[in-house]
Amino acid sequence: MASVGAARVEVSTLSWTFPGQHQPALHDIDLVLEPGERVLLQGPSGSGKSTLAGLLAGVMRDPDDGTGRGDISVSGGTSRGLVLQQPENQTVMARVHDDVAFGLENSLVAPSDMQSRIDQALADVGLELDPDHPTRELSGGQRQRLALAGALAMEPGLLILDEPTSSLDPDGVTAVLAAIERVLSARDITLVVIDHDPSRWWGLVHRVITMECGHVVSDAPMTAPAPSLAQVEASGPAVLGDEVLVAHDLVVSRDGTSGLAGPLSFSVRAGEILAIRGPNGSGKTTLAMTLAGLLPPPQGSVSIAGINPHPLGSRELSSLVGVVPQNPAHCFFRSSVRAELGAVGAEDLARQWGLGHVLEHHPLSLSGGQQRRLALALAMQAGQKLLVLDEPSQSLDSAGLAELVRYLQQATEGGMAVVMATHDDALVEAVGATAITLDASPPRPVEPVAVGPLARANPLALFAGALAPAVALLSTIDVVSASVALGLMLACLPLITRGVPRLAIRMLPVGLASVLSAVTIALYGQSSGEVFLEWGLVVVSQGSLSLALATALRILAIGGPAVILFSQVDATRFADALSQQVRLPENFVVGGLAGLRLLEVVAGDREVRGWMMRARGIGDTGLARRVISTAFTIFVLAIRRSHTLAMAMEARSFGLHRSRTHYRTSVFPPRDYLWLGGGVAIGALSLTAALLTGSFNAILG
Amino acid sequence: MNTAVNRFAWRPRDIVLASVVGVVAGGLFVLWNIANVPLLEPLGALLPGFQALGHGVWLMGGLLTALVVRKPGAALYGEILASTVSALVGNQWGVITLVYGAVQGLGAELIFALFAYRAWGWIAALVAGAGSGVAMAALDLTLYYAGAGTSFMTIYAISSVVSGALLAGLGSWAITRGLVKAGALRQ
Repeated sequence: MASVGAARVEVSTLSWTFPGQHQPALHDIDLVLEPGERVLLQGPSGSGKSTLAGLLAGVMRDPDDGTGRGDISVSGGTSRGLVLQQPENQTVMARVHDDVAFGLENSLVAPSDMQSRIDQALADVGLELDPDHPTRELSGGQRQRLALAGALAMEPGLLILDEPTSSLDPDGVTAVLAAIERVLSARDITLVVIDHDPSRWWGLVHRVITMECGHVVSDAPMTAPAPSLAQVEASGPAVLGDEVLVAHDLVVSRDGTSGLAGPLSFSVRAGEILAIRGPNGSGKTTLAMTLAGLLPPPQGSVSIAGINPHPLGSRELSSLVGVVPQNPAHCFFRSSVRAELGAVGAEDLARQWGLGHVLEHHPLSLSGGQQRRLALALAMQAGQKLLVLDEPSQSLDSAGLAELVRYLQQATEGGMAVVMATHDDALVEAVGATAITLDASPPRPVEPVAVGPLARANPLALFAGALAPAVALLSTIDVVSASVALGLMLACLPLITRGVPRLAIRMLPVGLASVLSAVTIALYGQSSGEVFLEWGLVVVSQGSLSLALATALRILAIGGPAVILFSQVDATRFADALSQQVRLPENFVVGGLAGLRLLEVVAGDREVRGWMMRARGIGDTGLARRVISTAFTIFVLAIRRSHTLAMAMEARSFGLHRSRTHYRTSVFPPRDYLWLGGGVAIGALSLTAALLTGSFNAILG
Repeated sequence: MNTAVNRFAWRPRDIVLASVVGVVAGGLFVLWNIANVPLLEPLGALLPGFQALGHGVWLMGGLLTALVVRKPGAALYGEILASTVSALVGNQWGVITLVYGAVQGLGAELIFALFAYRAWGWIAALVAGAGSGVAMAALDLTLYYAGAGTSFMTIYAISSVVSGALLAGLGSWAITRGLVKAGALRQ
């Protein structure tokens, strides 16, 4: 392994202003980091920490990012590694080893050198998984270590971690910190960490730089941590009222059948806060949403103020329960803060929640803290009896946490019962919550990797095999060619796949389209021969009926092979083939893959969005409106996520060169020509049959 | 520390943004592949050719990507990517979907090129949507409705172009404005 060595960083009179802002985000920063130094950067939200980190990482080189003055020089290793806050937005590829290789491919590392660097990086972060392990199955902590490995494989002299642990559960935090500790002992590296909880970094960093309003206000050696939550005053013993929420022998389930947690029996009084704790996947969110009446309990019962919430209409439910999801963006449905808060009293309410100056803004354009306040305001404004929160303190700094504690006290003082799913011990303690802890549930089995001739073949060969008969059939519209093609395909089917029943389900849309198109042609096709029915434009004749039959068979014969051969193709392998055999522009092919992976992440947002629609009282509005609203929000969130993804990708040299090297080699062995040959043969035989029987009916002419 | 920019050059972040928009549009295609059948095909059975009025949804991959990213090639890339997602999930048109993606993307791309990649407002969107609709109609009529009569073909072609202009063109323009308003894009 090439030894690069830690970088020396020198920042001189650096200022930075974001576009459209008057106040610089950074103001005359002077800083020297000696090689191997480990520095913690702290300060309140908006103090310029992340801006400085982005500049150090070299991901803000574009004029759109802002304008700067001054100088940054990073000596020693030229490569810099960057790990950001949200782990799920930093995974680029679908498989673990591919993801680590991503930066190496971008920086044109020879494929023969890749495996050792990948293995070393994954060993350093303690993530030794199967090379093909799907990244979508990783937990947050594992994903974050994967991102770290992706940065380390590039052998950076400077590693920048921007809030690497703040969106993780305690297990994830422990694992990531252990990984960083191992990395620091194994590698010669200069480290810059941003975190709002410095106590975690005791022993790992030497020096603490504090920033405020774009200035460095202190620069001192790391000292032993003081208890970080001392400034949040613990609430006095609350005055408890009647029982609001009662759960009896409750079992919860995500899919409505298999039990995830329970049976549980407990009650929460007015003025009381109940914390649901437990490891990832233990059902905290599911329980919280079941208590809020958003998921049906398969067993047992929930009652809120004596009412069983799940059967309620959306509107009634929304006046009984307020819900704040983990990402507050999911509970907004209108295009301004004013519209969200409602026509009456919006100004007062907005002022009360510190939102008076953004009354006309789009809710999704608000900052994270503003979105959280708006979500809380909506969950408490209608005199709801119960407030349900999912991970309310995730990624809050200490000021944000103190504010949250105040709002929770406000809710309990107003007589609400509060339930929150959380893994934040400090929050539980600060609000004096009673807690129930859920047990870890058994891990889900990982789907086996596909095997068989289809999985081995080059996707291009399958594509060509499906395209050949389609092209042949498109030249004519007759019953003979379509039936011959269809018959030959059915005859070949047992050679290719054994999953015929599943195939039948996947064929359904093709079947439906086939029937409907045939009906259209039967009614409006070119008429000839005997006429059976004439009504307005409708002319059903012998000719139109035979064209209809031909159309139906033809659609089946065109769509069928694609469903059989192509529709389950692995996107990564298809992309490999597109860039290596077809030589399409590499960065676009990879970009498409990264986009596809991000869509998997975004798809998970859909479920939460459905819950929130019901919780906000608009779950019973028209389907079209709900679909459009959800699609738009998902689009906005996807674009938001893409900004982080783009930064993470740029930090790993994406787009640095027009070409890339390839960790996976895409091969097109001679036997794959069989797929093409088979497709061509089917096409040729069906056309020949049509010509010989004289039924060939050219579409052009 | 800034370098001069070429307005036409793709930055890495443009590729990522275009990819995400294209893939999201692909998700929309997949939904529409299913929803379209019960919603619009019966319309075609009652009023021949009018079912194409809904087909503009399948042109939004190119239009949305172009209007969001505003780079040469964006319409082509976005439409191809969206149709690839649709084909990978599986649909009634099979691998021909990719051919459609390329041709429809090109239809929109040509119009944006005629505007010298300077116009991204509703007029350009409307015309580009219509251009994409022409491409779609040409493919549909030769590949799938070759057996149809002249009046069907005429109505179908006009419906396709109108749908392209309104649903895909103006629709994508409105969505893009919504994205800017929601703070997702800086334009």
